[in-house]
Amino acid sequence: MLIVQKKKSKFLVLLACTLIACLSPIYVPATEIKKVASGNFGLPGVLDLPTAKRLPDAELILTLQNHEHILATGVTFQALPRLGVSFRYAGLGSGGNFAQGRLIWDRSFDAHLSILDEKKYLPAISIGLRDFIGTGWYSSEYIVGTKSIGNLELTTGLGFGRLAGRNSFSNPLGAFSSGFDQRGQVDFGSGGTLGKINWFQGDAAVFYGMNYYFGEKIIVSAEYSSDIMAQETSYLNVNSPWNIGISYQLNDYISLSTQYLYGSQFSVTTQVSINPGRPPMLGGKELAPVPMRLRGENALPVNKNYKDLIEKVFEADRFEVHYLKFEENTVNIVVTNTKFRSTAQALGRISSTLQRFSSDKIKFANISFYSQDLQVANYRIDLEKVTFEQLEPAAPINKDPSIVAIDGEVLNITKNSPRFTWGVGPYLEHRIFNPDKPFSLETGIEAAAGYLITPGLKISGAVRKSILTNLTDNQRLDSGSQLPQVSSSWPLYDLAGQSGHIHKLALSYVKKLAPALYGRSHAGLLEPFFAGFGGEVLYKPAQSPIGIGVDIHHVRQRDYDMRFDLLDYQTTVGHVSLYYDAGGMFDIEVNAGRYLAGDWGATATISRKFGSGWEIGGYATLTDVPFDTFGEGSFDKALYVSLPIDWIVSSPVQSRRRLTIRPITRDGGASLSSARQLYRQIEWSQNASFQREFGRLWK
Amino acid sequence: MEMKTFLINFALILILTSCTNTPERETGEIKTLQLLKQAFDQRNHSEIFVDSRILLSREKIDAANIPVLFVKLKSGQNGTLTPYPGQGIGQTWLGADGATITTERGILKASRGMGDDLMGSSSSMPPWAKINENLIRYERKLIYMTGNNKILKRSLECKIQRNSLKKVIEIWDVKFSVRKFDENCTNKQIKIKNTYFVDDREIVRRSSQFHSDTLGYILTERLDR
Repeated sequence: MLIVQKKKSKFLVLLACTLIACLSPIYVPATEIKKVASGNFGLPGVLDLPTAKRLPDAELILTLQNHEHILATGVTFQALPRLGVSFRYAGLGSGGNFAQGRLIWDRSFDAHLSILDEKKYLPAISIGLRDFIGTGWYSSEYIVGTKSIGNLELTTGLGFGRLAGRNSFSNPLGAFSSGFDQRGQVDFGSGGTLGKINWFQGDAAVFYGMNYYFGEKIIVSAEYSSDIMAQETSYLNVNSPWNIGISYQLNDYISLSTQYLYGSQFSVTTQVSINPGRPPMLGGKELAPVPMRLRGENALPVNKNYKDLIEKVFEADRFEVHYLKFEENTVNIVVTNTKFRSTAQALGRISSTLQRFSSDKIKFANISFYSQDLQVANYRIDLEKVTFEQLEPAAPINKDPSIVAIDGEVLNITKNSPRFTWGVGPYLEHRIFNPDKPFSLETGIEAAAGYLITPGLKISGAVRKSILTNLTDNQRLDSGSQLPQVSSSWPLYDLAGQSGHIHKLALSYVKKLAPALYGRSHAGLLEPFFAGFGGEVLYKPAQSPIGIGVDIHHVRQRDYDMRFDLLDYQTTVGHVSLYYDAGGMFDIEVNAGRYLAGDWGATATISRKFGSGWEIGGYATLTDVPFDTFGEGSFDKALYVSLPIDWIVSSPVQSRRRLTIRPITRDGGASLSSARQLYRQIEWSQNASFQREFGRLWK
Repeated sequence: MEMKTFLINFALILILTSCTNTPERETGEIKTLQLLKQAFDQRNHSEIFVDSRILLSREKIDAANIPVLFVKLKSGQNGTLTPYPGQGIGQTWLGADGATITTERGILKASRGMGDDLMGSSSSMPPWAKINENLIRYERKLIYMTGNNKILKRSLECKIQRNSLKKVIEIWDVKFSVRKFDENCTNKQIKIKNTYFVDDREIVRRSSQFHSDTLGYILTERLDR
């Protein structure tokens, strides 16, 4: 027994080393890879079966598959050059009691790891896990190889678990360890965890598939599946192991596929593929920046600062100038950027304008950015050094760069912006993953207003009135949570807030307290479910990739109608937070402390930020609440995508939309959403963002 | 059916117009939809443009008495540009649509406001006067921006050769005596073939030059005498 365990440990160590080597973010340009067909599970595939191909780095695919017995939606993301992950939400079966008569609405999570790319004589090789977190409906693993011969792509693989149903044989990995011979039963408990790991265990079976590419638009596919569909036989006729299909690439983004599956079922699949690095219009369309003038030797002397011209250009570029002064050899400027999402681009615009229209005597510029009443970032520009960089841009350099992020002094200026701000428009709320109504929406009118009393001190609020909703159709009003219902009581708020509610009404004060130190406090109806008071402090040096924050709030639960009344439940929450963003591939945030239900624990967020402004990430919260007490899902977790609108419209706007996929909203690990705002407020202006989008500096 | 009705009504509500007095609040759903609609409209109208050859005549060009550069893209879209005032790096030309093109000795150096812009370039090409019928080799670097806002540099091996015979070309009713220069640049990914017609004053009167993968080659003509 000991020997078996040792062998197993060795194998796991070997597997871990291989995984680490493969997962390390080596640079593999996406352009090396031709169009890769995705299967019904979103990851590279024939139809239901996988191939060994890999998607281009950062590819994001939305999949919708529909036939009589399945409605599956999925999001696939190539998180690393060699690692693709997929989340799927599917309504399975028919004649059941859930929405659309489904037997179950199932969430599942897949991973596909590319071990080897295809070579002249060698196939591509990948391994993958299906449904390895959750209820395990599709629980299976595979090792797969794919080789292209001209336009024909042949695939064969070894399936385990569900993929070892047809013509199965004893596991060849048993040669390494007898631990692979038997597949252990998995107890997924409340779901949402890995359960007891039985990957690649038990019998195996072989599967085959082929894709034939007719040009760039049409793919004809056929596969022999080793999945006998045992879980589906109660409602699905499985007459054949063969599946066939044809897909058509409608345009750069959308593909449509029609399939005949299991010898009994017609199915259609639609996929939308996008990539943060592949915007609809490369570069975007906007007015050109001011070209820089020649400075130094051979240049005509300029002895005057053209302040009026500078202000006119800034007005055209929608910079609100709060302060502009020429002092000795430096021009100091404080602006609010209201147009460019990219701080690099905003910085380039300001720099080139100052370089051109200031006198030879002015050799440096100190630029301070304001955003929502806070001085969020400072940069120092060497106006002579940047002269030739505009038309011969180079990659960022570490040694003596011409533009440096600095911890600027605290400025006491009066903003040149309207004190009273207001806005009226519709709002949108959605709820997903309710098995009775998997997708619910509400829209209505929101009126928001704010008044800046003194610099940094503001009263602001928003009221909402629902106009059209089906959130109220939710019959699951009681979450049955054993914890204080701080978050899971959202159906009660949805219902009681219909006649109009105060979304938020708070007095807030925000200020840069010292170089690299930011502070914020607020009190009032902080968010829809909670009222109270509290604040946060953030230390984030301009040149450091690390930020540290502390927040503490005392809050009381608001009444379900979300007006001025409060419920009895009150608590104190607080966190110590660590932020890391070096401008590279990933950034990390860890918050540790006390949560709304009184539980103690930590939230880890990891996200991948792109130079195009996209952010794709996820978080998980583990607290001292046991998984059983937490309820379905075991612990709080979510995936999110933040999409910059300028990426879509190809012209400079600052808006972005964020979509969070949170499988279960329970009470354990529930956090005050208004608690930590400072880092969000400054991060897009910080040095890491500037470095990440450096190429846009002189755009 | 119930869901379909809901979505139709939902879309109708979103057609409402929102309003605000500050960009800080411009993050509502309607603003997003407006931007998307704007982008869609722009894309649909991108093929519609005013031909500057209808707006401008030889008389007007002569009367203006300033350098004028005519630029035509492969899409047919065209426009005239005039020098950006002041002493810059190279010669920057400004178009009526707010785009700029920077040239150095008549060779495209950079562009802005044209989408997939040539962010910059450098070359060790000798002066026009030193180029003869023999092939001269040198390097050229073209700099672009990727979809993820990173700098992308392309290094090319180039050779250029002057055509032995002088020829006369006509640009907007005026004849110019020029020499033709053929430039070929290659690397593993691309092959570029640029053509320049240069007069005795070393002004590039007409050229066909590679701009970018998206815009391809652009035609330039110097319209002033």
